[in-house]
Amino acid sequence: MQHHGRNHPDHGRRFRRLLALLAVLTVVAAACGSSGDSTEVGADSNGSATEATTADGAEAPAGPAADLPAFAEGAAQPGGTYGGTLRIAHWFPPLSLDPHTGSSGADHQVLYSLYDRLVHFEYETLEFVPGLATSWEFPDPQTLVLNLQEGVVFHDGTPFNAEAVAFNVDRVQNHPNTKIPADLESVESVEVIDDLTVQLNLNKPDSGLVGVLSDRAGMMVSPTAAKAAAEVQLDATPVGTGPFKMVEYAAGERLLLEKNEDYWQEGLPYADGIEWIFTGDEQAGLNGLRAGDIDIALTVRDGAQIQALSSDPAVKVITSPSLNTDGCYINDERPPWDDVRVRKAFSMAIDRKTLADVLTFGQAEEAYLPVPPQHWSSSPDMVGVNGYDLEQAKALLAESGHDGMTFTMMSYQNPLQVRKAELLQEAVAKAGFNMELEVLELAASVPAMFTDFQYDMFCAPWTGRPDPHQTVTNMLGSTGYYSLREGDRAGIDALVAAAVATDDLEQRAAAYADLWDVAIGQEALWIPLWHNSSVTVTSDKVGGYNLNLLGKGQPQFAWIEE
Amino acid sequence: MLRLLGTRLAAVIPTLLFATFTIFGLQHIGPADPATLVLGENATEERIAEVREQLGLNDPLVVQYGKWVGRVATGDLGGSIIRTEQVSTIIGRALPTTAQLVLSGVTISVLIGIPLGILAATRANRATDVAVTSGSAIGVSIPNFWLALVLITAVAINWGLVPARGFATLSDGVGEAFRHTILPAFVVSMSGIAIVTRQVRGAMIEALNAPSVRTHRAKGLPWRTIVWKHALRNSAVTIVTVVGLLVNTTLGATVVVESVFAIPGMGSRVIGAASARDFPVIQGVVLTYVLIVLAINLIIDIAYRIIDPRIS
Repeated sequence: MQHHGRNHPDHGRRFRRLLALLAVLTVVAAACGSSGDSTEVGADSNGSATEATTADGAEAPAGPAADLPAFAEGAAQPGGTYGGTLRIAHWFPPLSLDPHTGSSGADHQVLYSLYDRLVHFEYETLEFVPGLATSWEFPDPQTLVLNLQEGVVFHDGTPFNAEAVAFNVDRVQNHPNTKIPADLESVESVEVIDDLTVQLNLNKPDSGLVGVLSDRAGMMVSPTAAKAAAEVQLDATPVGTGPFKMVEYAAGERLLLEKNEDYWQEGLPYADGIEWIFTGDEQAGLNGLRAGDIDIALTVRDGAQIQALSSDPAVKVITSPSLNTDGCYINDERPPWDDVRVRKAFSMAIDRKTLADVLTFGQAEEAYLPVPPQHWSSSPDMVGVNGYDLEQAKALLAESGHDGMTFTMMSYQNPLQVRKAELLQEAVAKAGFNMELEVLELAASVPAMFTDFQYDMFCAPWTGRPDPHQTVTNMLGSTGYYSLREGDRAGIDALVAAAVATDDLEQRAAAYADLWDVAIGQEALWIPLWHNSSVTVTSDKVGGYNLNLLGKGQPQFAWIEE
Repeated sequence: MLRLLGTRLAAVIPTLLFATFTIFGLQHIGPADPATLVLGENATEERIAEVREQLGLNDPLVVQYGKWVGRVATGDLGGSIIRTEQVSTIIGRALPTTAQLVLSGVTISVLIGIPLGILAATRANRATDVAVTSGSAIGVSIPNFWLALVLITAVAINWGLVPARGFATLSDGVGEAFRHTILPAFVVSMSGIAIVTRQVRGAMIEALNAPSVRTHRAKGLPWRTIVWKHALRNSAVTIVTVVGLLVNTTLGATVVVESVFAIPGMGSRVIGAASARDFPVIQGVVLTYVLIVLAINLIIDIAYRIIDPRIS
């Protein structure tokens, strides 16, 4: 908006200036909007279209993962310091503080400090550990019994008990604005056995439910507050059982929390308060960190920044493997993508290692599955399956009769995403694909692909879910939003169901190995590209910030060292 | 005077109508259906239909526009579709911040630009003039987001003189407000300084070449009096026009600069809303911008008729 001066502007000029202002505003708004791209492919109803947490990371010290012991959330750690207020910059403002009616993938980090879930997990392995439920069991595959923590109260004084769990399950399923009814679709009914025991009766075997209860659906809101709030007001006045309670909230700007003195987990939290600062821009958080008025900058993705910060002794760069995995969604109902040879040829045309290095400064690792190798559901047999083999790719494409085929891949406005698409374009051209690229606004991208079926392909990161069942039903099952199939393919629905028919982790892992073999290996229905890391930067005074395989950081139990 | 005001106001109406139509049309340009934005991925067809009905999306476009204008005219900008918050509340919180930033920016532009312009004019085509003129060319050309990043790094991070992000309004205390405002205000004033300098230089050269100046000199008036009293007054129309336009320019600059400094003003809000496709918020903020721009233009129009009676 810079004008060279003019002496006596007439009306025409002024009017044009107004139009220019409007145009620039629109363009600027759109451009900036698309940098806010950490989104769940679809998990957000808002503009953040996909689980596109971009990992434009750079080389960061590889160390911390190895140095820190594994902690489950809620375990008090040795050497923690009490007091002080943690100032945390989060570049993507939460869209809702109500866990059930919100859906943005970037809300979690904030929600964790306000709400406990029924089930928590080990940070580094995502193995499930007690949360508000002290234990659980499946007496049979269609019944889940939860034993609840005694003596827990919500921030408003309402006791947490079996009735509260029943209320919350009902709220997730039936609230007019619930965004996650699908998470609890297997729950047929809830029985309150006694004050601290609740039984979920399922309409099908679903051992993935335990993991679901460590996500949004397991976040317990106060029934009193939820009933009192006019419809959806809880999104600005959160009442949970979490380690912090709300003091003041300016949506999109700032959220001030104070310690919950009655918190049920012994010795936690350490800080007296948290000041969340929503910057809308990652750079602003890092500037604050370097200037000393921010303690933690969550989810840093700019590779160059990470490299620069790594050599700064006043900050700690914490890099963690995460579930966040880049991959390509294919509209395989549409010819020629219905031909598995075409899908495999595309996959084999991509040199994952080289592209990931170029794109993320070596921060991502090549992927052959939607889950990273650190996760229990990963299968070592899949390493290299449909991997880079240009000759084979050419041969397969020629054999299918579609050599030189033209198709359109859609991407969204974000420098990293566009660059990725261009690199892919170049790579697959060598195998005989003539890939055209269309770039949409972020918010429009996911509906265009998955609601309106406008494109052949969309490559975006999947941010992952606590239980792989959530991932595979979404991505591979015939009813999933991110699956483009109209019906079952190759018995995949049965394999998806088989993986939740038991709650034995080893048996489940074996079932996933079968599923991966068919859906990703033989059918190539989703093309994995690379696993991204998640990076958080803290000042050197912050202790107790843990890595987290989920990729959604949990800063609520960090502390400030003197 | 009243008649003048009346005709000017009447002239604003078509512009306003066009602007509101454009703003309203924004949400119909993009491919995403607001109802699906509200409901998310798991919404049933029935629920989408219900919300479409609630939001009035089934009415013809002109009817929707009419209803929207009707509501807006009574001050009801609607509620955010992402958060349960009224758009007017959001604007009410953001506007003072942006206003403080814009007014500070304009003040800096004027305080630096006018003396520089006079300096250049009185030394027209000499070395000082060339330096000032080329300096102002640089000022206009520097992208302000870049300048913001450089200044944050140098002044806020390396020297630690002012905060690197965030904002404080006058209600937080004058000292705090000043510390938070000075750097972003300087950044948004940059192109303004250049514009004021060039305009004042041009107008002053013209004024100093007027026959009256020769008369004043012949009468033996001191040069300083001629420059600051007579020539400057004759340049007043230009200066007022430029200051008015500066408000508009500076307002535009805040959109990006607020984001870089993480200032919770109108610019940050509109960008946040755009990334979330929160149309009521976008519409409300852009409409506010339009009203400000139109009001400023109206004030300029009237002001220079007061300053210079020859303009009718």
